[in-house]
Amino acid sequence: MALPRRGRIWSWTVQRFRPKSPPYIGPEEFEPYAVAYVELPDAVIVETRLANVAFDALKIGMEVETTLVPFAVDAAGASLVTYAFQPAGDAE
Amino acid sequence: MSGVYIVGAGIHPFGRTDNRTGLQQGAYAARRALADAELAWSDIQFGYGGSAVSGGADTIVNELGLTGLQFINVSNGCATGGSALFGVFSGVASGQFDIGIAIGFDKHPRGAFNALPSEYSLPDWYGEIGLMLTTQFFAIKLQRYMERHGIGRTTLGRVAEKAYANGALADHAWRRQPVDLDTILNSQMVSDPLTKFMFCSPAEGGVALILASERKARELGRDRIRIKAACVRSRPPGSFEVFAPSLDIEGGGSPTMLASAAAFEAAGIGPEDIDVAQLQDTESGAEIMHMAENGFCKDGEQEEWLAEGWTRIDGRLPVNTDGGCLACGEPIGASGLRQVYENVMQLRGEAGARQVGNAPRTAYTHVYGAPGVSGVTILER
Repeated sequence: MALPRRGRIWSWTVQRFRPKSPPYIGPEEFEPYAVAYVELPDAVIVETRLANVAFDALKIGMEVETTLVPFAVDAAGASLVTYAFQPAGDAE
Repeated sequence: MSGVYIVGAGIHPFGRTDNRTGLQQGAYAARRALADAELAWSDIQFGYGGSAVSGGADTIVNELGLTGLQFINVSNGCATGGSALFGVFSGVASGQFDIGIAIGFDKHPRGAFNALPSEYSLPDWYGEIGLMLTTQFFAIKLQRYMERHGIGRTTLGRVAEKAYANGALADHAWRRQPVDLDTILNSQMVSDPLTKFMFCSPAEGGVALILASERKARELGRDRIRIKAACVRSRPPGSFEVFAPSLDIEGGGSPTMLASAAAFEAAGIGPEDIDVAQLQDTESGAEIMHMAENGFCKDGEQEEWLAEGWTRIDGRLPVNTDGGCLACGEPIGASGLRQVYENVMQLRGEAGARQVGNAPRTAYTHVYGAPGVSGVTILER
């Protein structure tokens, strides 16, 4: 099933401390990241990390779109990426 | 079904006790409950008990005595204590047993809980990218609730301020110092909109409750505190729970609403009849949302309730009179039973400096946890 690439922030928070490992595998040096549930119209609400957005700009209803972001490095030194959402590039 | 009474209650102080294991804290609580009931361990016919991280509760017989009693371990997340109580309640109510014990204890390491995806039938990536945190869930649920129902940050602060003020009056609480509103609001942000002082912390503690049939309770001369309802419910469709990678757009009810409705029906009374309540307060916002989910007020009315102090010990419906999870900390296996212990003390009039006035006759408890389970009890004097 193909899901819409765009949706709106249903709710959000900011992860301000490093989660414990396991299960988290992000870098030891921690940078806070935003987490949201994004409502994809007529489909589902998905939990996701947010990228490329200032924390003080976060708002319920903000339009966002899918992207990929690096979140960890594997044992061989390769970058691992995950899905995320970022502010939509242009208003529809 | 015949009546079921609480004839003994014991607690091991919550917080940090370096020289005792979680199990030993549970055994300590059991000895206190036995002394309270003026019973011996050999009088107990059966038990249910559990911990999340401190081992099988049935090994408590090594501490208390090898009497050969039937003992069943409960592993039900944050509802472990509530489920143990339900087990004992059912065994006595059915007429199969006359006297049983519910025991809950735990001893968690410092820092946030680190649940693993495999424990909740979730894929590993969910934890690897940093989405598997109870703190995130509570913050996100609260953020939406505040926007939809006009709840302000000051109200969150007032819940925590009340918790620490009550904890200062409770012998078994961990946090015994009042904290002022400004300090709470301006402390370190943990997960927006929640600051450090608005969250409870994993901790240690143990609680035991001894339940008896009406006949036995009368014989013991301890037929004062009756359990009118003990209900545990899991989640309905469309609810929003801890550790949910996705949600239905069409929202639904919650396990708390189901457990609350079932308990009120079993007890034959309504929220307006309750004199004192202990509600799951993993963080400040949880207490606020659970006030409405349990039927004590409408969504949004909490602004006025907190501003007017109606949930303080001297208010119209005192909530979390021992400081709740915020002041007592969260030993998962013990928290649900701590709430019931506190209500027993309040109904007996033995709560000391934190005693609710006007001799309360009805008391309500509500515990909630992952992956969407709630337990509710109603006691009557």
